[in-house]
Amino acid sequence: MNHASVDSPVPEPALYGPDTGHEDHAHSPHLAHHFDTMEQQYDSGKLGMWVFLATELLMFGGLFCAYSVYRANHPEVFLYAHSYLSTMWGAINTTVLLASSLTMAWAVRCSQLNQQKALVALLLATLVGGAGFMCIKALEYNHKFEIDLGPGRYNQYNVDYKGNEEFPGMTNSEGMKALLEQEKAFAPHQLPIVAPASQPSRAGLYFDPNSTGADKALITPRYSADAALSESQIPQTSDHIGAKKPGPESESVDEEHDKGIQFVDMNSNLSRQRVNTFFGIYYCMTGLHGIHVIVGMSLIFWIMWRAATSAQRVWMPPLPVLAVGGYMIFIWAISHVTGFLYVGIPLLIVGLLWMVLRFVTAKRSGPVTEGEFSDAYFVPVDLVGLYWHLVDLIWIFLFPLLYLIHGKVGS
Amino acid sequence: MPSTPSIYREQIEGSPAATEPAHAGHGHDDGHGHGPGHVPGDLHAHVVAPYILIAVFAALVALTGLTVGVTYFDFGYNINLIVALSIAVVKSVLVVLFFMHLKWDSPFYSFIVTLCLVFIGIFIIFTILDTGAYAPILTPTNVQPG
Repeated sequence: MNHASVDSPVPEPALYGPDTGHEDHAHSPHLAHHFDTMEQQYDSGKLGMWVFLATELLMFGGLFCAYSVYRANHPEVFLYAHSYLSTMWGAINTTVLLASSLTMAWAVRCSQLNQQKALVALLLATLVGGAGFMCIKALEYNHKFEIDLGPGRYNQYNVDYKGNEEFPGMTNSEGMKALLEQEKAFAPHQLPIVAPASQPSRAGLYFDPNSTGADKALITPRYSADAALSESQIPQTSDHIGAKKPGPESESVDEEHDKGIQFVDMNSNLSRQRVNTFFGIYYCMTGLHGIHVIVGMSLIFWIMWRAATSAQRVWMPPLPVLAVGGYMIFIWAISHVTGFLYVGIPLLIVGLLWMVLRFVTAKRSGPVTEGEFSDAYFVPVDLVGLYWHLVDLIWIFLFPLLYLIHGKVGS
Repeated sequence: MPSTPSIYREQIEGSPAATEPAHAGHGHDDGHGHGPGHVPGDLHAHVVAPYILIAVFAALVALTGLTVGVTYFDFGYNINLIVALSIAVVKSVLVVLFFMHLKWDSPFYSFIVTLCLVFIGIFIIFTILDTGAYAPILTPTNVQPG
């Protein structure tokens, strides 16, 4: 064996005079005491990370299960509700996340090859990708809030019914119940396709997801095929909203239906009512994913700090403050909620002052501390990279499941 | 002797930074780091070639375009779902194999992930089977005990 010929000439450094460097080699500064070799340490770290990633997958598995059960039982609700999401922004966000995954994978490569400057640059690029993803996510969430499709009780279908002419003096739950009773007694000839002008608060019920502007004011009866459904097509059990058995008549559906959205044997108004459940799932899945993006960005920043030389560390500490401040101002710019401005501007000022201070007080001379990672030790970069790829992996499934629902229900 | 991938060896030796290791006592210049004089127990991880990274990224972007483009064709609700999910599976396999190094890593990590996915599959399939096992409406006929 080769290693025998390498190791055997120096069996005991103590016996053979001064250390030849092998003693240092056997005790790498990065080797923790409870590991025998660097390889064992590396493999243990990776094993631990993969087990952790498996638990992450199981956690998301619960949400995917909720999604699957609801979609299996109410395909028409998903078909209707998903059209509130912008496929274009979803695709752009997918690409942004994929690009940041590329830079992360490349950063791991750089850390293995002692390319310190490229490592820091690529980690920074990954952070920019993550920030871009969060900005697009904020744009999308803001759009949902604007059309009253907020999370939980902020969803338009949980609005305050007290002010509603149709259900005077009712509490929210009573109003919801009354609304459901009304839906149960649904008959197509009674369905108001165009919302009466006297019901502005329920205008969103008839909001057309495919319209381009004037979301709340303009109410277009896009789904006019609802009215075209004859009495015979409505199942006798009108509260059976699962579209399991489409009648033969359901094939003849208005050509105007974009993206093949059809409501076959169910009360189509109900799927509008159930839009909030779709968005409950949407907010849980994309929200938990968004939290993972933020955690991943924090970890990448930590890794970037450790990878940096003392000269590069000058500009790093204020970056998170600037990033959060900038993000708050971005949210204010799209939502016009002034609270974000009050948080964002001070953060931005503090961050900029801190940055100036860092450069003014930076040491111009003296030894420059090297970055921590090299071909001998790059486990943290590798493991954080794995986490970031998992975030990408989840999104790869979220994108088609939430944004790309298509086809005829029951086909 | 454990073989070090040739691409790794070449780049280590060709890299200017490789001649000045960040940590004294552990470099390649002592002949024990990497290459022919590899010591068992020493760290040797696979380095992914740039062309693989770029090719995988290009494939992922192309598949994203495909999964969007395929929604313009109506194959039916279920077929469309299957197509979208198949593309997502291909994409995730690319990410896991190449970006996450599983292609070159210990198969035990792949085993952990596969086992995890199997259990998620059992979880979801059995839950859906269960929700399909109930009558949508309770009427006297289907509520009465047999």
